[in-house]
Amino acid sequence: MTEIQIKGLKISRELCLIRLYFSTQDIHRLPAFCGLMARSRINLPFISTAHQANGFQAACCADARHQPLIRQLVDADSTFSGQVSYIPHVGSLTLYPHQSSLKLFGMSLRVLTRENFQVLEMASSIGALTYVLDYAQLDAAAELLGACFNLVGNHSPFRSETVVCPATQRKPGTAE
Amino acid sequence: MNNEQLIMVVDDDPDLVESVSMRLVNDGFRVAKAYDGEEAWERIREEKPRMLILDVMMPRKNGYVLCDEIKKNDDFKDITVVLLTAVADAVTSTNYTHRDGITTLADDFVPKPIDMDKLMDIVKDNLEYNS
Repeated sequence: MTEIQIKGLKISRELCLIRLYFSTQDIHRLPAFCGLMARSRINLPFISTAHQANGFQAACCADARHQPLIRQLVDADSTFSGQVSYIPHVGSLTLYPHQSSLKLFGMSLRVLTRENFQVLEMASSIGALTYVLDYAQLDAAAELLGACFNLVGNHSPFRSETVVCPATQRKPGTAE
Repeated sequence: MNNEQLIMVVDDDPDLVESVSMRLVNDGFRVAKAYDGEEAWERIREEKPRMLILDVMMPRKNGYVLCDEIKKNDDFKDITVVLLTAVADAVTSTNYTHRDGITTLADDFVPKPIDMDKLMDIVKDNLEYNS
């Protein structure tokens, strides 16, 4: 275990990864894609962009249950033709807070790659460092990183218990 | 004056905790951070903050339950609680009754996504009013 302390690790539900490829002049297509998702109330818990020589690539994650709808929406818009690919059965693993620590980033990436976890995407935000991995490997990756870093005692569970239900949906076990 | 006032930010979204904390620190407040209701309750007992900026939906102990516990505890009932809620359009007051039948009386609420200037106005108004 290292001396680096983290407050928690979070494992997502099953997600699908959507990769979008745009030329430099088509950079406005990413906001258009996000708008398309927002209008359909599809949450994108992960977004990253990477600039390349002849354009840029964006990576987004959405709940796995939304993948058919996302495909349908994208296929219906010809301007996205040939620019979108999908990777199903992924999940995100988030370490927080990272406090801009390159040590945390370097060590976590080294540990994951040393153990042959395939890192599909990664991003650091203001308070967290997130890896997108194969969904089947999330628990093992969390266990590995949890053992590697000094995770505070009484930390939150790795998987959130919170489930958002529409207001019309009754709590299981309650009477009509 | 602000240096004396500790504000605890509680949310299971680390980015939200960090961004709100940065703004508070820039405005001269001391900040403590917690990432779920249970951790927050532990730290409240240790540090007794002046104000809590508290998310509703969190693992282990949600914001409604924590707010209720604070307001029923003689040692902590004077802590100002500002709830962060994504359902503010359905809320008409700071008096909530949630699904488990517990009524929560917070001091104020801010809808998500957060208008940071509005949040800062609420923080300053409440702390100045109560100081």
